[in-house]
Amino acid sequence: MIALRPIVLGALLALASSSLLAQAMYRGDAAHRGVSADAAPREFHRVRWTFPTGGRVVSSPVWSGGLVLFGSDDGHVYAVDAATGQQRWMARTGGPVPSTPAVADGRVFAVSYDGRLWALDARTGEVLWKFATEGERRFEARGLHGMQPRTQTFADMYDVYLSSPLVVGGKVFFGSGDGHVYAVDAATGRLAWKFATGDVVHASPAFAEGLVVVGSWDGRLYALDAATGAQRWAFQAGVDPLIHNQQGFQSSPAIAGDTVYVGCRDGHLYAIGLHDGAQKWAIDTEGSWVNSSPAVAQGRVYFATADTARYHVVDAATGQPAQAPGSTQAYVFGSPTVAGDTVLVPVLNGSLQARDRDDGRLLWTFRTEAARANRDWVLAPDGRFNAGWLFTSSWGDATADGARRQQSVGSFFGTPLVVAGTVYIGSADSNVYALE
Amino acid sequence: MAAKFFLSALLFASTNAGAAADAAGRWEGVAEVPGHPLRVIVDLDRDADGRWAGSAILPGRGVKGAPLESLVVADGEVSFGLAGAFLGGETLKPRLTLAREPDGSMAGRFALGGQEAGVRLRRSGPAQVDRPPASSVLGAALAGRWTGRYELGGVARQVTLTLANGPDGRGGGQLVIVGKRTTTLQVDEVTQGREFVTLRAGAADFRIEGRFSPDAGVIDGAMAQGPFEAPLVLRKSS
Repeated sequence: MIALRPIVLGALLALASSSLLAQAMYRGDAAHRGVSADAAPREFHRVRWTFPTGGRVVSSPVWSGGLVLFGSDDGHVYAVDAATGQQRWMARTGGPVPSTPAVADGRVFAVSYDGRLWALDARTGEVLWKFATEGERRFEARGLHGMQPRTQTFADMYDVYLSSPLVVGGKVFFGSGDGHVYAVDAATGRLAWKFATGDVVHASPAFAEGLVVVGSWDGRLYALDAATGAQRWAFQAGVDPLIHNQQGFQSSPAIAGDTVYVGCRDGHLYAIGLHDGAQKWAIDTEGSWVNSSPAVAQGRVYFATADTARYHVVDAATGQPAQAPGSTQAYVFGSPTVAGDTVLVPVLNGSLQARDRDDGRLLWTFRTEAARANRDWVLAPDGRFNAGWLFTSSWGDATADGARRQQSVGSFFGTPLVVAGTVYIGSADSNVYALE
Repeated sequence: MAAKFFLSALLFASTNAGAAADAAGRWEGVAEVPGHPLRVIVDLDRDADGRWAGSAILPGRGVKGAPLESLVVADGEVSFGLAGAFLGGETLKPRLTLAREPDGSMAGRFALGGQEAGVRLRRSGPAQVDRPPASSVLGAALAGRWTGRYELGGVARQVTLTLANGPDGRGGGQLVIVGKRTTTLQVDEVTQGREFVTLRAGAADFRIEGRFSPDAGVIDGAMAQGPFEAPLVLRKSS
């Protein structure tokens, strides 16, 4: 027994470190499967701590050595003690940080609206280097979403994310509003290669078998050679030349086996062959955006939709429903996390739903204080958005005003992080919450 | 006893009539929606037939002349729906329910989508009711089934329009548009001029306008919805 103890301890430590390492970037790991090694609570007990920032938190928290790291639209990257919620450090960038940091080899990487990839010391937040792209911007189009005047170019108020960096093999991969996918040396910040797409890239690249896979607002999903940046294939999804509404990859891909799963604004979730870019199956979501990045676990794909506000679980091999769709009440942009036998689904109405992984039933819901107060009647009593109240016109900035009012209830845009039974998630109410 | 009852009934009736007549005018105030007060201007008056009619203005929301639906003016109380003033109003069922106050104002509740806020309106002048445009009475040449096709964003849509005079003797109908999906719209306004016919499905802000050729059985024009327009030729099929 005594002799066994170090072995057991060693094995436990190895398990724990692999579990924790797997939560060090967007969607958990390089394949972006959205699966946590740790189980989420089956019942909601309390808010352990609340960490206020100075801006909307679109970024998802990641884990490194007992720290929870995330960006905020106040322009900072934060490292917070996971146990106490006390700030360890904050690093100021030159713009909002609606990108999820990645941690590798003692460095934290984050993309800021200042158009730079920042490398920070994970212990102190000290800036190690910065890499400048050609500049950030939101997706924009003339007459976007039917806004008027039709010939006016509008920035998309629902393009809320920046690309979250992927770190593999000593390189940092990320997309940019300048339309490129970049590969940068993680140690030095030197450019390894860049690849031009046709429009904004704000999805996060996923990696498997030497391929970096990422979608662009040009309506294509690209597979690039991780070593050289050479295009292996491109999958063409739907385009919308009329109002540019049913077009673009805001969802980040998840890779499992030889299949890439990805949502698209063209109203589909796609399963695409990793090696040839051929479509295996697609789910028609009736025109509803799939901005949520899918999670893949145990032969099933978990995702949610925007307008139709549905939570879907489908068979990964066939796309056939594995559960009857559940209602999320309001749009989902954030991405589900499969954590043990629970799936966490963040919703833009300021609620975080916990559902049973196997039958989809709602276990508990956490709502922000702003959602509960529901000033300005942003929400109907059943939690749906009061669209007819919020949106007054398709002219000028009225649509953007409506979208801003929606977020005032503390929309959850990110992916929940689960470590040791605690759920960490950021909100548009400027807080990061630790829930247990 | 009988005389006393009769007298009091008369008095009661005259009080009600007075209260109802007193409701005529322009009323302005605010619905106290938390964090987002809603300015409301309501015009109430009787029409030529003596029936109550009204319209509403919601400054800042782009609403002018929204019809008051299911308008009730009686016993010192006024209530009406405002579905036409809100996107998806049929679902939200916005409604004002007001009662006369001793100070001459009207106070009550503004309800929308299951939520309620207090509202108080004060008379600010004579009524200026916006009357909704009345549909034309359709002749035999225009009533019937029309079909056509238009294209938007590279997607073709088949249109089937059925026009008839309604119970009020004025034109209306139904529009079925088949593209990627099938959409059915109620045509709530049909205006026939000397050369042109204009149709409107208000719920979807969908319009058709075209030159009407009765002999050829053709409406040659365009569809419009929000910022979009496309050529559309409708031909009579029955």
